[in-house]
Amino acid sequence: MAIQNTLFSKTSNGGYSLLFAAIAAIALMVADVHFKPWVAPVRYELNRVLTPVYTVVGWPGRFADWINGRFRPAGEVRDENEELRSQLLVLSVRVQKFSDLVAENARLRGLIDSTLIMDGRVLVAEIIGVDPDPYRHIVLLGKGQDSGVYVGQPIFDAHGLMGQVIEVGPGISRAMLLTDRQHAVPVRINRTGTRAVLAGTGDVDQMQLLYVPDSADVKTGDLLISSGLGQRFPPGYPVAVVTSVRHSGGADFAQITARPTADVDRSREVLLMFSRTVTPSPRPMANSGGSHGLAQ
Amino acid sequence: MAWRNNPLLAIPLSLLGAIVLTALPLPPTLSYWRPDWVAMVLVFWVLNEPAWVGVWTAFALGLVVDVETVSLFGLHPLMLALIAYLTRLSSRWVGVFSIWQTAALVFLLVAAELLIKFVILSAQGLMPNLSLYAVPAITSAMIWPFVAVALRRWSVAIR
Repeated sequence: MAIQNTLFSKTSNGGYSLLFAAIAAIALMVADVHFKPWVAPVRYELNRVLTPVYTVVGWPGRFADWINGRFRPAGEVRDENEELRSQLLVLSVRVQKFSDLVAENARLRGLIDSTLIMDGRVLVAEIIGVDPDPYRHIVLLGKGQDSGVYVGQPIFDAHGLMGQVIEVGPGISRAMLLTDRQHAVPVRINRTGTRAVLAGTGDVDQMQLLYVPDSADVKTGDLLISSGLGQRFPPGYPVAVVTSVRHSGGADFAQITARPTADVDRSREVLLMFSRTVTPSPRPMANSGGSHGLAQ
Repeated sequence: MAWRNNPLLAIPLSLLGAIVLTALPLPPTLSYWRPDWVAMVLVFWVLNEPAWVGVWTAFALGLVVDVETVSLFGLHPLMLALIAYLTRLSSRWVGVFSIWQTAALVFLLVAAELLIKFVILSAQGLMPNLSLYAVPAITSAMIWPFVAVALRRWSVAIR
């Protein structure tokens, strides 16, 4: 067949096709960067077409879970059950206190006229797959637009913030993890309150704390919590722990690395959090100016 | 072309298989070694069914791969269209390839593809880590003989 084709040139080389295809591809790339709203519906529909592929891709993980669930000694399961029960008890006692604190917090914030971002509903989503490109940290989640997932939604695991949703399809969504090189979170050092930006480096257990003055008080082991600045992530959740602080003489900023508290590369399930804002009730006493600056 | 001789079933099925293999989760250390399944299947069909698979098939396939891998929209259409074109061009020059020649061809094509990807990612400010970047070209070329033979047998069998 190949010989036939070389003798009777019934199909052209496709030089023009390549030219047009290349122009179209470059136009698409420009559109994807500068006119995102035009490209987004196309991606959405193609994601719909790909849904069966995502199902198949999720099988190995589900199969491994099934094996793990099936072939475990009964004693181990009983032990785990007992441990979970006691954990549940501890947590529910804490939650009793927590609801009281939330009410108090809302009241106090009402006094300084600041909106409180409350944690609303959460949704558990399974991680179906990871980005095939090892240089990026993007995961595929098994919940999509039909469950109300939206772009920019923060995701968590049991130990802390994990990342945010960057693309939503019909029954799936994709989330970028904290450790991706394109990701950054506004954080606060829990001990001192210093604000900084925590950026991913592409390494699973190493992140960089940016723009911390060389003279700032930062120690190894400091907990970094989300500051809520930028209004994308809810404030007050653990994000990372400082692992090393290097002061290089002459530089403006200290070189600080941190490790995420969440099991970024091991979690099989994540929590999608729907935050809702509570506007405070009118303040009892009239107070002008200034307080807005405080609320920021 | 007689109905039983056309590859209209084999082409989409094999491309679908390649798309699934592209997204299949692998342990992080192994995923640097993932061969470029889509490029290999594309090269196979451009060599064997040039009347059916060409630059525009590659372009459409690239759109799907872009969505699947969350790439910049248009990156894979560009890479795969170029692969399809170069494959056709080289098959015109040489005529019939042996399986080892095509393995070398696959190596060069995947390397060219990685080069384009590198340029575009760098332009985006996302320069990849270089240490294992070219590995898919090597693994693709190594696994190519098996893929080519398997695809040929299978496509004849389901015809």
